[in-house]
Amino acid sequence: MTVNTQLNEPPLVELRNITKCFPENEVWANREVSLTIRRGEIQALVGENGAGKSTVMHVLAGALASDSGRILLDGREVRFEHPRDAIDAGILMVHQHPQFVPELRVWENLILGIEPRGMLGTIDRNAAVARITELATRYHMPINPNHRIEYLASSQVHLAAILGALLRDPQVLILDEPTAPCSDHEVELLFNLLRSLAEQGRALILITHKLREVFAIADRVTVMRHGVNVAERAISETTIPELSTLMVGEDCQVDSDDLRLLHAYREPPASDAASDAAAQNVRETAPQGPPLFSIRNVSLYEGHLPLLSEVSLSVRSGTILGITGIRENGLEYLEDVISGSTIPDSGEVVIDEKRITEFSPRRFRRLGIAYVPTDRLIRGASMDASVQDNLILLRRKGLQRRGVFNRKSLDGFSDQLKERFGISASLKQPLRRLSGGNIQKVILSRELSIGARVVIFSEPSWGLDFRSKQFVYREIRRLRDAGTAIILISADIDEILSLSDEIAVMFRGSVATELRGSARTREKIAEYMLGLEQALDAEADEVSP
Amino acid sequence: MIANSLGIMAPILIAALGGLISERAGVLNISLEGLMLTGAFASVVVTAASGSIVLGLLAGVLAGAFLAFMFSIISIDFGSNIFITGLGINLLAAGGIPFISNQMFGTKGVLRFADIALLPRVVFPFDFRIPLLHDLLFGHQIGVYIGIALTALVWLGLYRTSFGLRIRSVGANPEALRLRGLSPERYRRIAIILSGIGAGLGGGLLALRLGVYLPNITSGRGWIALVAIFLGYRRPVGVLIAAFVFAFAETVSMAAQGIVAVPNTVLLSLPYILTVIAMVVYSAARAGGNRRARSPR
Repeated sequence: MTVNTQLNEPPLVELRNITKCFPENEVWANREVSLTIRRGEIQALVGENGAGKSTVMHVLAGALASDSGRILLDGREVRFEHPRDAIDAGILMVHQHPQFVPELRVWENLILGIEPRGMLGTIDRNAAVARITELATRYHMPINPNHRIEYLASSQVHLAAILGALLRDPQVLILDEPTAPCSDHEVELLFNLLRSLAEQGRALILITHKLREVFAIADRVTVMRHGVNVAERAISETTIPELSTLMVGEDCQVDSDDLRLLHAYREPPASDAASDAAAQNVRETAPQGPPLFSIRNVSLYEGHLPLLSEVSLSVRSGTILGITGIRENGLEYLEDVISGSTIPDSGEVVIDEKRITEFSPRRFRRLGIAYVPTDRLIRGASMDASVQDNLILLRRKGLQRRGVFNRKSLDGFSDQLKERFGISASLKQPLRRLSGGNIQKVILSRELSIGARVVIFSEPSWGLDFRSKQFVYREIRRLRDAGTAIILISADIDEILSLSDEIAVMFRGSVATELRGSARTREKIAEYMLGLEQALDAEADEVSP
Repeated sequence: MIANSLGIMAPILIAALGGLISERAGVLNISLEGLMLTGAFASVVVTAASGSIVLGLLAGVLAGAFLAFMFSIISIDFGSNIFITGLGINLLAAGGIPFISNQMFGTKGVLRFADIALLPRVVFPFDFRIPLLHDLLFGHQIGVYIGIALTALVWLGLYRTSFGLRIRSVGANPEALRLRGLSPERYRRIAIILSGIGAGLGGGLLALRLGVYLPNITSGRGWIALVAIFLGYRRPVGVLIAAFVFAFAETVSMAAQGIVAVPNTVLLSLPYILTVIAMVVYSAARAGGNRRARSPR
């Protein structure tokens, strides 16, 4: 690890009071975030999903304009209005999903924008390939410049993107979750690379939520939560438990308005601010009986890489199964499988003791499995169609006469849904005009109108304001009490705790643990989410022969 | 017959090569027809006025480039839908040219100038007498040689220069350019203007072969050029082959008139029917290919 020897110089980059709001989601992505970036240092930026880590770095890389705040480079104020400005200043970001042209070769993608010229202004291909090969060899990166990007594994795509940044000789290199798709060996390669770059006097910023990596590589760590920089520590002065507490926050210290309101809303009210959120959710008569919907030993692969391995979960009528975990740990693949849009490579999905053989969203709906996706604005709704058209999308029977919609039964049906779910909009309004909460209500009521016995919610409160959130939570509880089996997929620990009867935590494509009753605590969930529990187990194994 | 086909091919090919560049940059330019028509009109008028073929063709190129520049402003800067914009350019050409023609010459119909210069045939200082090869290589109008030279030039430009790399990249993923500090809009604009240059030149060559401007002289050649881009798998040599196939079909259909006992109208529609068939076969082959590519893991 490098020692910072340039304390007297001004820091390489200073971010001061960066603020960014996304009005469409009514979310403060960054509130007054200040950061100092020094030469020769590896700085980690940690926080939960949506904490604002990527946003503030996008601002620094010129990919996103902040609403207010200043950027100082070597003590002088600069303005980055375009990625070009940041690149010219020596600041490069390797995005979490690197932007490449898939059908072009690696070398073509890497030199795009800095093409070496040869005869008659043509690209000097040999020089380009030689340059990339030289860099790849120096840092032991297994990248062949002549391969097409589309045939690379996602970890290789990431390494290639890092090579591409190095070709531009950056002073500041920002890496957004670079290790997510990497094997242990690749992580090691990457860390060696980062160390030698730091030794060359470059500044490195590593966005991650893997705390173990932070301790393995970083010199300093900054913790972000809900768009705010909550803490900054030298790595020698902190511990994993401290950081994980800072990341997820504690009930009694939550400073976000949203969360405070959310807690106040919980029913019955928590007896003590610090008491377990889980406690209020334990019901006297938790239904017993056989599971209504389950998946057994489901595995899914991408090439040899397991996306899901041997996942088994089940949910009974009248209960809520919460599934949580950090992104890139298989949650999204699990969601695709249980909603019928992806066929698992092995294992089975079972409803009513019967194995489902045909995987399609349509088939799943017929079987009474409703699905409310996260990206409901893209997949779940037709934004330009009217409220009514969206409501009747799934229902034709009973509304048509000889294949033509009957206006009276249409209006009757939609009015009924509108009233039941309290949709405050005219039926003829295009969906786009409605507030986020109302759109959610429309989709929810449509999905529930098919008489589902199992409802899958993915991040149901994503992008909703407090009142709409309230509505959605109330509706989920009401459904549960009416005997519906509910699967709630959410990365929001508060949401999971306040709604779920049982909680499954995903880590690296498998179920790390299932928590019931009083075991459902914020700390336990966080430990399993971050993979700390396994790490501790593994260390224990190593110690005791 | 080959020579005839090549002559018919040249304007289509040149317009298609321009359209190919903008298509590769992610902008399907459906206004090729209107741009060709404009190029044809401008070329004939300027050639007649100046007596110079070169100035005439240059005028066709400039007219096409100017209209395409307008296209880029409307679609890129004002963010309008490219199909609607392209349609607008086509309608503008179809309505604007008769209007200008009427203002300048008092007619909306045929423009015939007494001693207008015609496209020269190219005479080579050397020759040889191998029967088939001779007919294939020599004695064509200059447009044929321009078209083939441009095919090579566009190939070189697209696949061997940084400009071409950026054009191909902006069409596949504009965000990739933006994050590398390049401006996707800039490359799209240049590509659109190049398509205007190609179509303008193609239209000019088409009209100066005859030395007259006729209303609707392009008679769908711009659309055929558009089809040729896709039939040619979006590659310069493929476009060359596709343009030739269409031209050959047209030659055959014209030659067959009066010989075969099929109504003229049916014969004359042969190239268009062929285009439709080729398009269907192409899509089917592509869909089949895709299905194979997406084999289960």
